[in-house]
Amino acid sequence: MRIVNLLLTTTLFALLGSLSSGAQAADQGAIKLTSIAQTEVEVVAKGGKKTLKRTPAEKVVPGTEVIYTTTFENIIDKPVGHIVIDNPIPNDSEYKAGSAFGKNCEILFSVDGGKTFGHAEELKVKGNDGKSRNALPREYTNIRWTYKGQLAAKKSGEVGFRATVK
Amino acid sequence: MRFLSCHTHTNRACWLGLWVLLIASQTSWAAGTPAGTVISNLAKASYDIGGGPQIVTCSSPAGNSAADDDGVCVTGAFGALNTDFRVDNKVDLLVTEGNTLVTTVVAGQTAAVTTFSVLNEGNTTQDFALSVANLATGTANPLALPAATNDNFDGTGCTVSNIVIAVGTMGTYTALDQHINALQADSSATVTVTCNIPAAQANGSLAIISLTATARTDNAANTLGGAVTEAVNTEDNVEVVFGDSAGSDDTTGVRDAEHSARDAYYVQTATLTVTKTASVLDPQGGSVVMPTAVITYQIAVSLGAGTATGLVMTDPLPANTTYLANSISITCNAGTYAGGGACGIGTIAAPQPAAAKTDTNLDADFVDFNGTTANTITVLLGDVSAPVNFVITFKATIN
Repeated sequence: MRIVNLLLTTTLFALLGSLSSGAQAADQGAIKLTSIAQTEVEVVAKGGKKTLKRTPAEKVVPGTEVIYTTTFENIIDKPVGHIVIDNPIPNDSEYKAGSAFGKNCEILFSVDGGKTFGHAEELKVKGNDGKSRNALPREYTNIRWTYKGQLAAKKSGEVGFRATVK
Repeated sequence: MRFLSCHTHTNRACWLGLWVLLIASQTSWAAGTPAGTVISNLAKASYDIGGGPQIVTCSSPAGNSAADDDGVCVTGAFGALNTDFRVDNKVDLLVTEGNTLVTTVVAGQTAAVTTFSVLNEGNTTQDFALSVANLATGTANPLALPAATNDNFDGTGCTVSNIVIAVGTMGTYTALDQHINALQADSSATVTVTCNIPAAQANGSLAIISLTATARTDNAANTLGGAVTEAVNTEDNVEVVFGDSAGSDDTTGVRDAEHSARDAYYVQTATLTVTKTASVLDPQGGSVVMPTAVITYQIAVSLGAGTATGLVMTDPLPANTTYLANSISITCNAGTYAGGGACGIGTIAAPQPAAAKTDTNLDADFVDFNGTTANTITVLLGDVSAPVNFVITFKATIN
């Protein structure tokens, strides 16, 4: 499938010509942002000790819990500030309660597609009866991490969450 | 390049397509997200350097550091690439017996029917191979009654004789197919199995059968598709992943693309016993058989096993006797009589005291003389199930 997309992209680039290539000639930023999706499998060691091993999200069926991890690395030689990471809950997936993590970050959630964010306990949605109620974790649509302070040169941080495939 | 990309931010058709896809993705699936669905994710970071203007960078699986000039994360633009994978083909199925009861049959019954349900609990349309098996002698009865009986005979010619959709959608069924075509995710089919019961099979015999369903590939034809096998998984392809539980008679148990359940045939031929006795009362109070003496006839009917439906007792009056009008009465000692039988009107349970009946044909007491059949007592007992015992009494005078 990736090969097909690659061919498609090549074709589109050719068609779009200067417009496309102009858009692609982006300036380098200061943060390198890497997102990966993984699953956990139980591995039993020789002594019978069970450990969880993370692998790329290759074997995924409905009900599988997927771990999304985003790494932000300062690749310049100056500190970077006001770092905010936004990540939507992927399609066909439900956020797993309490799974968002991020050292030295304030973590906020959204239930309206990222228009507004709030702490978990502040989020409200309209129930079937039309009345406002507290949002359930599975109703979250986006997560926002705000890094406290400055990220020093060449340093990196990691944020992420878990979501279950519906 | 990955999935779900619109290369220019002004390409309306592309964005509309994406929007439709997003709306579609809100649908919830009881059996789970369909196989092949791409689940993608794209993170966005915004930051500044030394309090300068905000810079936006969008993620990629290998790491992207390009500044996103328009601040909108779209895969394919400014180095951004979705982190994505495809949902695999979950193979999961459940076979259940049609009810929790044994199927009661009579010796010699042909094509005795029992039913099973096959539910596709996976996330893909599959074909399902079906096989019926007789279980070994001594196999314990899996169903509620009769608890003490184990398998002690085999039905013959056991086969799948019909398949109909119960919930959802399936492909075409052609008579005597031993497979289900194209059963969609979340759908269930009712599978009818028939067996012949040997002619001389004794009452109380039990034959346990199993139905095993095995998931196969939906081959888009009315034939059975090929086997499904688990393969090495990759992020971008759709592989088969078994998720089924263990059935009663699976080859290997859990996660084998197979599930099974049991049913049992229980032989229960109705055994009806009818005993008739007569006593004579002469005009002198003795028991001499002479003209004007009154004979009291008693017919005891008992059903030791099984069920009799539409049970009717008839007794022609002997020659040289005259029926004593309205002399019929019935005593119900044991059992339940359905269908408004002679022991009462509607379904009643014995014991019931002796009840006098009239001779009129087609009246509410289901008893007549010389009505249904000339010069004959007719008693309609209706539907009865063992154990049953009742006594019909009537009188006649000797000419």
